[in-house]
Amino acid sequence: MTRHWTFGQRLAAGFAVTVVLAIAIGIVSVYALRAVVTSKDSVINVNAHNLTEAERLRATLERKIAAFRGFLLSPEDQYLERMREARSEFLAALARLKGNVITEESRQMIDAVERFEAEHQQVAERLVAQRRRSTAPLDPVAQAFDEQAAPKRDQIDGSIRSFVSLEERLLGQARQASTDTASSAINTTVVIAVIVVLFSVLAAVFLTRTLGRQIGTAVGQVQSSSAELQSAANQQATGAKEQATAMSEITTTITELLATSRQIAESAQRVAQIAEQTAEAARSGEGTVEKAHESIAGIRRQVDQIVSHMLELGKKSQQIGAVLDIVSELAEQTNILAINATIEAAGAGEAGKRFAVVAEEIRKLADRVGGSTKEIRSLIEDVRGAVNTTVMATETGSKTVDVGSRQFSEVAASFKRIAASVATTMEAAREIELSTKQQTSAVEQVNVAIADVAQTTKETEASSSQTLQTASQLATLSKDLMRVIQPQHAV
Amino acid sequence: MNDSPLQDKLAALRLAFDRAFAVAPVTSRAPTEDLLAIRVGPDPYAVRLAEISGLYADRKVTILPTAIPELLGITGVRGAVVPVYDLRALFGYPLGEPSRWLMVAAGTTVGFAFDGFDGHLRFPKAERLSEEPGRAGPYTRGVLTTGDVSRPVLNVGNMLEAIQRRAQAARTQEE
Repeated sequence: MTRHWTFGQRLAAGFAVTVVLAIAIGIVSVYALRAVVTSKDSVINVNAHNLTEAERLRATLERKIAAFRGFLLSPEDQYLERMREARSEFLAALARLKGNVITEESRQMIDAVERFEAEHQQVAERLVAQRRRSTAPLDPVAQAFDEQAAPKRDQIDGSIRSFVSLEERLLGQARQASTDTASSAINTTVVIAVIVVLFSVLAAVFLTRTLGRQIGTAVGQVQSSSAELQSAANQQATGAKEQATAMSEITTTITELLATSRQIAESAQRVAQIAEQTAEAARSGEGTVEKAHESIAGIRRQVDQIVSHMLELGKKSQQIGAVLDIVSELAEQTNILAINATIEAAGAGEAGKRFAVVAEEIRKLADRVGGSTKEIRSLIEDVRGAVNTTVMATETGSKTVDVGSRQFSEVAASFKRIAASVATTMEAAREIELSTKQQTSAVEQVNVAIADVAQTTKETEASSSQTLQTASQLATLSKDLMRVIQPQHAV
Repeated sequence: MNDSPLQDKLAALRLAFDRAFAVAPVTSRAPTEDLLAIRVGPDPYAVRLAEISGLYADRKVTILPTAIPELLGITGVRGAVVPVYDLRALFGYPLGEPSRWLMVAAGTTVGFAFDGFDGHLRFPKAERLSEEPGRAGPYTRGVLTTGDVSRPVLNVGNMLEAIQRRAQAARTQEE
């Protein structure tokens, strides 16, 4: 994870560890100093104070005993008063000592001093009373003083001395403890300081190596990049020169393109005019074709009527043929009857001769009717054949008219398509004219833009030279930096 | 189309018809021979009018079960039952469509069916009638030539005899 740390992060981490160790040193030092101070305070506040108070006890005791002696020598109240004051100070000092001692042994000694003082006070009060009551000689009182009060005073002094010696011993112990604490703190501080120095050296070495490696890599990349930048700047300068040349050619080409666009616009305008004339001609042709189509439709209706009449004529011919069949059959039957009448007349002899003549006439008539019916049948067949031929011819004509009508319809549709195409062409020509004008305007703008680009290209060329110079300076700078970081690798 | 020929023909027909009732009857004239021009199969024949008692067309013939191949069946003519014989079978022609025409032999009730009737022929007796045998062999008695057409004249008597022989032979065969 530390591989990805930045330069600043690594420096910050090294300094942070150093600061933490310095803070630790400070804390330990403060702790040690506080321990030393506490020990010193303990020595000063407790033991030294106790010794002072013990000396004060001794001094007030001396003042009390001096006042007591003075009263015994001269029983005046001022001595009693001094005595009471000395005792009050004694008791006050004793009370302070009592509250200040910390060991049980010291407390017992204080209690012994207090008890011996109380006993001495009782003796003193008794001797004072004794001295105040009698005006007797001083000797018994002095004797009593030496026998009763002096031992008590010795006990008090002994106890105070014991207390003082105890306190002196405790003072020595406390002084030694304070000295030990200070020594321990000094040792700890020294150890931590050594650790901090070692770590700082290690961190410095580590940071030096790491950062040197990183900066060396970066400087190498800067060198490579500056080389590439030099190459790119060279190429850019070359390209800018070529671009300037190309811009000049483009300007020439665009000028020609401008002239061509104007020609195209004029041509498109002429095309639009011609297309409009063509559309007018197509509309006229469409009207003519429409009239011809109507004429053909009229012809077709008449041809249909002819076909209908011819078919009707064919039907009439068939009806005539049917009637003729009846006539023919009647003639045939008449002929048969006439023949049979002739036979019967022959069988009737002379009487039937006249009847035979009539029968003969009827037979002849029937023969002639039969012949006529045959001729009429032939004529009707001719008529029917002519009708059929006419019907077929008219049907062929009708089909031809249909074909012609369809062709005229196709021609009309073609004229419509031509008119539509011409309209489309006219519209397209107008759009071409408009577009070409717009194109001309755009080309003029492009011409201006190309001039700007040419100017920009010149500036780019100058900028490329500047970039090349900057890249060279950067390469020199990176070499200097490499020389600073890795002198052995510097070229 | 010109209508005048038809009008002329119609006027001629009307005139002939009216004249038949207007002119005086011709009673004395040269003896004539009346024949009927017929067809049996594809060939033309003639038959004397004196040898038949009637000519009929489109008669219904009822078929009879018979051993005589020439007998087509029977039909009714003026209240009499008439057996009808096929001249095509009798003359040896191949069989074809049913014959439309019928003639009854004179003095008998025997009918002969034939295929076509071409018309009534009248001319002086023995004129243009040769005695050479016709196509039907024993059933003809000469040839009548009119224009380019030669018609064998049928001998109805021989035909009746041949039919009687066939009938007898069939009866004998049945017995």
